Amino acid sequence: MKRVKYKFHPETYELGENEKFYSDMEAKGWRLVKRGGYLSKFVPVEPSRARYRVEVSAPGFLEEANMSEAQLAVFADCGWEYVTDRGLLYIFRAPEGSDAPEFYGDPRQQAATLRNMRTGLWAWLPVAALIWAPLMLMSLSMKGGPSQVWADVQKSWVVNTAGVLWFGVFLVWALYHFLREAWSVTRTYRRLRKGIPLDHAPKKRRLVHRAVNGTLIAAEILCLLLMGVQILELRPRELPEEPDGPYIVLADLGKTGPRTVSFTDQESELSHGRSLMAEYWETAEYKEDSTLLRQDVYRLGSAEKAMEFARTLMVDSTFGQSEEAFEPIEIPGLDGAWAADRLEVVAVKGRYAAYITYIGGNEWDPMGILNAVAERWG
Amino acid sequence: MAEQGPMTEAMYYILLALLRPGHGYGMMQRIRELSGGRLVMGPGTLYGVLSRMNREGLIVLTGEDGRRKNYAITEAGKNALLLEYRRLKQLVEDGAILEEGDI
Repeated sequence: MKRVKYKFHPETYELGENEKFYSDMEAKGWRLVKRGGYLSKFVPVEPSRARYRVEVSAPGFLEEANMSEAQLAVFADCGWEYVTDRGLLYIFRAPEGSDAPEFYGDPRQQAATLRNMRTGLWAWLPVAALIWAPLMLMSLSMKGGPSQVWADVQKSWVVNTAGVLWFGVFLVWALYHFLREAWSVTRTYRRLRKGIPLDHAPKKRRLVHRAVNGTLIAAEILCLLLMGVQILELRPRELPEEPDGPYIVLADLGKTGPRTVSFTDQESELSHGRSLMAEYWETAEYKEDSTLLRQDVYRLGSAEKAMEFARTLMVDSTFGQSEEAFEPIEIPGLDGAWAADRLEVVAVKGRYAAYITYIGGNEWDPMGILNAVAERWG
Repeated sequence: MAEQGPMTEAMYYILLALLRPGHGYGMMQRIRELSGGRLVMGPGTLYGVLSRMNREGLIVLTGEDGRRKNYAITEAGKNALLLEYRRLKQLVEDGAILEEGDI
């Protein structure tokens, strides 16, 4: 026989649902001993009928959050055994048939306990604003402006589609829970204020919620798994002397000297990854004559997407940071080619798009780089 | 003390019960007696009202008996209770016409 059992419990704000959940569990032979953040812990007992009631301890600003010993003593004197508490909820139990009175004779008095819970729903807004405002300002100042931030988001969408999806699903999930909580608490509060008692055994109305919540959580887990696979696949390796993908090496530009490490001791490396939107190659190559070649090459779903992504690459570029900073160049064999004032080029052909940074002293030959790319992409 | 308006039934009976100082459970028993079993006050109501009246100075904590806290009515509480009693009495007297004629 199992010694303990853990089960997901209803949300904190689902007062009647929690009471019914614990009563039903006891009727099945499982008595509540501890309530956690998402799971409740039960121990086996003889199946029996019991009443469970929850008391909301939602203090006002700077008020004591916990129920006092004296308060618990009053509940105990009335026949209510304190079982456990978690966050705002205190849970009490009384055997079926005991004369333990309901907590509130008048629902309007119980409404008062939900008032602070209702106000607290919005308390996170100023806190979130205080945290997000400096982060947004910092991000804008580091990136150069809103268009750069947006380009960064678009690039993340292509490179780490699963990660962006995960974050998007998380935001939807958080918003869904917030709206549901706001609706539920406000509805319960208004009903109590009108003198309608709390329903201690609500009929099952949680099927839609469970379906929505389950779908969102499943989507988050799926995205996390995809992210994991991507990260594992993306492990950097030594850059081959002869390219094994749609990228160029310094030898293609006539730089045949030996490779070295960067001034931060970084080796010449290749990372090859795949997202839901693209397959991509990232290289970094260093030669003894202080030349450096970094490139990001993407194979997207269509030629249209590749052309659109080229604009994102220009805005997201390290030095140019805008489409205007790049001049178009006609290169045979490429659908589009652009070069910034020294250092950076962007190229597109079919489903391929590339952003390349080249540092080679006074040698700046964007045509040479773009021709090498055109030759590689054949 | 907060401005005194009409009292809730719970406040009125708790103050009545505290004419004899006691703890929470004793108060509940006394309220049931005083109301002839009509009013069964739950622990949620009782504790909420006690906290509020304590803040407003209508009752005072007199000591602790184990986990239980003992309360007593204050002079301000007695005055408030008397005022409410007179107000209710006046209401009942004014309504006496209901028993005189046909309605």
